[in-house]
Amino acid sequence: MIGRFLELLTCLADSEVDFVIIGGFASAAHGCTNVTQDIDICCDFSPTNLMRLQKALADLNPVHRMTSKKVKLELTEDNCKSLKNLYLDTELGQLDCLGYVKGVGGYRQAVKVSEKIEIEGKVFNILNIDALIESKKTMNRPRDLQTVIELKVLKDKRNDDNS
Amino acid sequence: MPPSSSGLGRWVLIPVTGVRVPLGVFIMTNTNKDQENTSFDEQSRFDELVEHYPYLKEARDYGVDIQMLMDNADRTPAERLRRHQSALNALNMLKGARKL
Repeated sequence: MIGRFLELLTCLADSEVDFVIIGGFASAAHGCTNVTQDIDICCDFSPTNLMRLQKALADLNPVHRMTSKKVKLELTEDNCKSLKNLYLDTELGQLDCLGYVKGVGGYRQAVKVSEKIEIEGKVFNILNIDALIESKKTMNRPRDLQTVIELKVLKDKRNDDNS
Repeated sequence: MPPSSSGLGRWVLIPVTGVRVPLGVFIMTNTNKDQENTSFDEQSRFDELVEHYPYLKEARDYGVDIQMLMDNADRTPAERLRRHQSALNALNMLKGARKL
């Protein structure tokens, strides 16, 4: 069983939130060895999609994790118009929602460079290996450089297996 | 102890020899210091792999667990994420461990 992260992603998918899995969880899905303690997604930051996101998380006590007092997530059609990112803590784990991924672009672009994976009967979009490499290279943190190296090996292996 | 060396195992097909190397016979080391102690046989197999996957050497030098990485490569996304969750569960257990 894949556990809490899958449960969290399933909540989003079941509420028809438009998102692409990015970051460490996407890297792990491709085969990278690092463990991540949160889920990063790139999602459509339209008010409609953000309200769907809020509905998806309604039973999980979502709070803004970057605020000192862990302010409860309370979006309205008006106040979410200016949002670019959301950094949340939920009962199923930490969820960082980005409207823009460095090295990739906004949600629409992320969808174009994503691929579908199936986990326990659920289908999700994740950033493909090339896009993940670009985004990690752009971040340029030491741990991202390790991920880039691993992704390059995994890409070569996959190309080899498919040829 | 390495996994069993019997059977074909799920491992990379080495194009040079055409032989699929059983997992238990091919143990990667992930540090340069360990490399000094690896057998000639294991080192030459690694060298063959690096010829085929050039970034492997960089990965090894960076300290990546090559065996784990290549094993993950042969798994489905769901299997990889199950492994990932197991590791995360272990990490969370350690966080809650009581110091004696």
